[in-house]
Order: sequence, then C-alpha cells, then structure tokens
Amino acid sequence: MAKAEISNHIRGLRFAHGEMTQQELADRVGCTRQTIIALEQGRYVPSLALAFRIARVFERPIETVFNLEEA
Amino acid sequence: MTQTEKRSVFILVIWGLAACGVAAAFFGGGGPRSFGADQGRIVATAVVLGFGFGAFFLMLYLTRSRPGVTPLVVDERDETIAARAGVITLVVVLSSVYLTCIVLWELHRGAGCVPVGWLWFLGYGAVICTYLCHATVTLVLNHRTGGRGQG
Repeated sequence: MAKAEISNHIRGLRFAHGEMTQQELADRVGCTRQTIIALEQGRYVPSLALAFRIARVFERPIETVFNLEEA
Repeated sequence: MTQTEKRSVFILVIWGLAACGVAAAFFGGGGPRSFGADQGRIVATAVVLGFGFGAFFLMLYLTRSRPGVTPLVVDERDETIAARAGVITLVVVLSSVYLTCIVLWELHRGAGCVPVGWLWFLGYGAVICTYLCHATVTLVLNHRTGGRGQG
C-alpha cells in the first residue's frame, strides 16, 4: 500500500476565523497548544475524533480541512 | 513546556542522581566482587533507590493536573508519545539486561559462578534504566513532533 500523508489547512482557517489563536483552538477542541502547533507543522496526524472536532470548529466538512496525499 | 515534558525532565534529574549514587556504591569501595558481603553498601544503594522513588512520587504529586484549576495538560498526542516511548523503553531495557547477562557469563564462565553482587546491579540497573530511557525517549519524541509556534 502506498504511503499516505495527511496535510491540513488549519493555520489558514484560524486566520480566516477572526485570527483565532492556537490556544483558543486548542481549548475549543480539547487538546494542548503544542498539539495544534504540531498539526500545523505537519508533524502529527490527529485522531479521527480530533480531526472532526477541528472541522466542526471551522464549520467545514472534514475533507476541506484535512487532505490525504498518496505518495 | 507541557506537563509530560516537565515530568520527563524531573525524572531525568531524579533518576540520573540515583544512577550516580548506585554506581558509586556498587563500583566503589571494593567493587562488585565484595558488594554482596558489604552490608553498608547494600543499605546505601537501598537508601539511594528509596530517595529516587520518594522524589519521583513527590514530583508526580506536585506536577499533578487539577481539573478546573490547571488547564488541560495531557492530550492524545502525549498519550501516543507515551505509548511509543513505552515500547522503545521495553526493547532497550530487555536488550540491556540480556547484553549484561551475556557479558557477565563470558567474563565469569571460567570461574563457573558470578559474584552475587551483580544481581543487585541488574535489578537496580533495570529499574533506573527504565525511568531514564522512558524520559529520554519522551523528550526526543516531543521535540520531533512538536515545536514552538506563535499565539
């Protein structure tokens, strides 16, 4: 099976949502700011539950927040 | 710094000091050969390990999370890191014990027996190595999957 990577648009969406801070987003989805930083830098792939919570904060379908990139 | 990182740093300090104390008691004053018969050194290593556990549990209490008082400090990324660190630590500790046993066997196979003091070293060493390895791997994985971002 080809290796897949998950990229996301969290950083852009935060700014589009009234320049939401990383801490604000972390508080709303129930994780630490370090995890939001790791997500934005592409160093951590979130669980499905966390991905859904993030998408819900931005009021967007999950596939417009996260992309599956097949290598 | 997250609670996980803080605790890992404290663990490195506490068990690093304990490792120095145990090594000094075990290898100093006659070395491993006479350790099993030296009550003073046996008590000294037990005191050092006791200090390690005492300081460790005190640190856990002082850095505990209090719902409603302290913000969320541990999340799914921390749990993922802890699980990976646990697996890596298991492999490292098992390999270390195995290698130590093989080296002892090679060194003493001619004599037909190993000084009993080495059993203390293996036991204490495994405990200390477990804490040190887990904390080190946790810090490395945190560094690799984290970073410092803007607010």
